[in-house]
Amino acid sequence: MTETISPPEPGTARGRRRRRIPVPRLPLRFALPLAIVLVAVAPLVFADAYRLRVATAAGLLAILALAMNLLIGGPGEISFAHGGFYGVGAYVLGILTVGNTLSFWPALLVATAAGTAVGVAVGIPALRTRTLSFAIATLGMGLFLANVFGGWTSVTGGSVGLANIPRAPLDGIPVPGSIFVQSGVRQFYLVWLVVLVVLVLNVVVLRGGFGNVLKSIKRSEVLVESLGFRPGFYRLATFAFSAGLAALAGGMYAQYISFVGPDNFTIFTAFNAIVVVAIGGLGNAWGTVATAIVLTVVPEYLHALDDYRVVVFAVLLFVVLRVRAALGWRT
Amino acid sequence: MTTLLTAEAVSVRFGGLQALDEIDLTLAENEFLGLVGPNGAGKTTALDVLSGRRRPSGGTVRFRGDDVTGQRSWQLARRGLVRTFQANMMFESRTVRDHIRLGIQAANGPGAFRTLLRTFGRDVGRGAEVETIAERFHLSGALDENADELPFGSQRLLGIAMSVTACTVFPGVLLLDEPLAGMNDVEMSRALDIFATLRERGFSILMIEHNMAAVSRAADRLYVFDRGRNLAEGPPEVVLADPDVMSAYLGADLDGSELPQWTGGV
Repeated sequence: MTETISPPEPGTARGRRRRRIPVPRLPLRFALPLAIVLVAVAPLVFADAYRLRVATAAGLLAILALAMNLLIGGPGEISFAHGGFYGVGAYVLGILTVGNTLSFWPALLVATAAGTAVGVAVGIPALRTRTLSFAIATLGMGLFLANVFGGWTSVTGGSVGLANIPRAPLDGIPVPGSIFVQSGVRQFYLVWLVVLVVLVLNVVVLRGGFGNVLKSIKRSEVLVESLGFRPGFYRLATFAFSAGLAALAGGMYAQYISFVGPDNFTIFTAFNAIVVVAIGGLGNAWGTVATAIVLTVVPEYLHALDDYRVVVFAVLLFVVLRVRAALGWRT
Repeated sequence: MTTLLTAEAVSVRFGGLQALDEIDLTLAENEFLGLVGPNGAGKTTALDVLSGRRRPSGGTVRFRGDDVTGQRSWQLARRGLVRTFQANMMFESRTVRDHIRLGIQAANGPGAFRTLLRTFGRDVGRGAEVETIAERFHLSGALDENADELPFGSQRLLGIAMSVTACTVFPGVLLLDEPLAGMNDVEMSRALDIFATLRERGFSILMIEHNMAAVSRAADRLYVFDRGRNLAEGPPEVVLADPDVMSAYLGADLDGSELPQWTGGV
């Protein structure tokens, strides 16, 4: 038996290319109407207040995870400060609406803007680093922000937190599901409306030209800069945008729960969002939303397992990552 | 001919190493310059300084008469000075289409806000412009392949395609770092044809190259660097006949009296 050493096949480097199954990509014009219909009929299907609460909680996690997805799927950075930005949004909305300084909608806008501003302030020093160092830098910022929430008692209420945050004024808006359930259906629709908007933003930005620049920056800042782009500015803009979306999620959370306390905005909050994005496909917005739903709903069925739920999650994470690797889905 | 780009007494020091020692260089409008020299002569360092990737420790760089010393490469690219890189520097697991699209986006305006606004409009990656550029650089068949899996020659051409597309200020300057390395004869003649076309379109080109035959055929003038200094400058046939240049390449005087002694082991 003779073996010949053949030169690399044309079109391949070193001739070793694995066949990959492409990541399924449904164009937005088909996927979005489908998602809108699903959201619209969901309250009719699970027509009880408990399931609706779980579904709303899934939506809140989805918004935060989508904020993280923009950062991980674009410039490829992981931030542990997003729990803090989530908290900034929640506290700003809470402080403004509890004292009746502003009504809900302007307060939500201010909360989002505040998160963006804090994102710029954190991003300017932190973005001097990359990847692992960046994760650690943001970890420090996340810890700092969590301490501010717990320690700045005169403003945040300290460890007691802020209670009686008014909910979004939605009463009287006619919605189809309200025929079956009264309580919580408007909140469900509001939260999932925000999910859909943020989802579309994710898909358009990451698939479009801006995403092309971000994904190129992730691979070589030097090459991108040589074409006239300012990589640092793109990274900062993306980080601030992502922080603003996290603050929006926080504002939605605060009005839904009607209470904010320092325990909900730690680095573990950011960690949860990172896990959702990791399972969802690192930059895959639809996968992120699907994972947020699964990771909110599944624990509800596993109450009997108590702390052993963690084992189930570990196995789930392992299986998902194995399957993705077997399909050759790189991200 | 007007002078476009000049380096005046440019020096670069890395710790104890004088990588560039008061280098002078001028590139006139529509000129094709070759930059040659032995390994370690400082050619790439000079290109890094000219393209804004590295700040010189001394000296002045002028572009279109303005002092641009210390300006970043994004600033120079927006003024019409672009470069390619020595290594095959492609974006990993991104397609040829993505690369060309990035070049077009840079041409449409590389600012973040403008790019964000355009993201909500028509996708330049799907337009006819990408196909036209791919065809011009012999990449039509590979548009949806990953760029880092292309043959090296095609990767070089793609790098040139990106920078040339991004350059919208005319007359533009193109700095090429060993563009012909690793190319076969067909690819090399294609590349040289492309350079000729770019010159017809008004580009001025500075090319670092080790292939003496190719560079002396293509270039109007050659600069020879050795150990971070200007060694010679002039038309290729004159420069390459210079005894100093020959000795720099051989690493010793021609009579062999200073040939390096082999003192190592096996």
